Amino acid sequence: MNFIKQFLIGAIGGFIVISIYFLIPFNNMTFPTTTVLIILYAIVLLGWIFCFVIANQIKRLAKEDLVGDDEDQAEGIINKKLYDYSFSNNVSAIFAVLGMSIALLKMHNPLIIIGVIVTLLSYSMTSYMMKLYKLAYPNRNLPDVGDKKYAKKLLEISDDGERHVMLHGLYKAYNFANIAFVFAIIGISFYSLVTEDSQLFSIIVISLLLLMMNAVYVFSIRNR
Amino acid sequence: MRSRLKELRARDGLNQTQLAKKAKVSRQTISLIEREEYIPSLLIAARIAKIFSEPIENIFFFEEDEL
Repeated sequence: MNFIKQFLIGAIGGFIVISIYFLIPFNNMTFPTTTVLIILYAIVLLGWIFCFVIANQIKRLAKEDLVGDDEDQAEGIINKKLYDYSFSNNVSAIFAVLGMSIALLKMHNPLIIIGVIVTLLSYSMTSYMMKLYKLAYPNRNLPDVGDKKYAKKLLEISDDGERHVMLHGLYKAYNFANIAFVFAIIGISFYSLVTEDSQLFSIIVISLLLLMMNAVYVFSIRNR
Repeated sequence: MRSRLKELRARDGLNQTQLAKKAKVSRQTISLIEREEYIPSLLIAARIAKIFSEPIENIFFFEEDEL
C-alpha cells in the first residue's frame, strides 16, 4: 500500500515537472540572479530572526523556577524549541550555501562576498545552538562542538528513549533521501535532455552520494 | 505495553522531570513510556521499579497477545 502511495505521488510529481518543462521556455529565459539572491538572503534573514526569537524563548523558560507539571511542560517546550532552532538554522545555512553558489556561478562579485559571509554566519550559529543545549540541560555532559568525535559522543550521552525517537526520525529521512535522490537523478537527466545542457557531473555526484549513503548505512549495521 | 507510571508518580508526588533524574534518563523517555510509545529496557524498568519500591511486574503490564 505504501509503495503504491509513493509510486502515485512520484508519478504525479513527475507529471507536474514534465508539464512545467514543456510549458516554460527555459532556453529563452534569462536568470534573474539579483532577484533570486535577494529572495534567498531574505529567507536566510527570516531564519536568523526565528533562531533569535526561539533562543530568547529558551533562555526565558530555562531561567524560570517551575515545579510539578509546569516544570514538565516547560521542559517539553524547551525540547521542541531546540529542534525548531535547529531546523531554522539548517534551512538558513542551506539557503546561504545556495545563494553563495548562485552568486559564484553568475559572477556577481559583491554578492559572492556577501554569500561567503552569510554562509559563515549561518554555520557559526550551529555552535550557538550547543550553548543553548547547555543552558537548557546544565546537568548533561554535552560534548564540545569542536570535538572530533562530536556526533558519536552526542549519541552516546542520549538515553534509550531519545535514541528511539532519533531512530524513527532518521529512518524516515533515510528512506525519503533514497527516493528523493533517484527522482533528482531522473529530473536532472530530463532537464539535460530538454535544454541540451548536460548535467552529467551533477548526476554522477548525486549517484555517488546515494551509493555512499547506502554503504554507510548498511556497513554501520551489518557488522554489529 | 501498559504501565502504572503516572499513577505511581502521583502517589509519590513526583513529576516526570524528577522521576527522570532519579532513573538517570531524560524526561522525554519517561513521557514516551507513559504514552505507551516506547518499551523501556530492562535496566530502566529495574531502576523505575526500585524508585517506587515495587516489583517490575506491578508497574509494567503486557497484553496476552504481546507475549
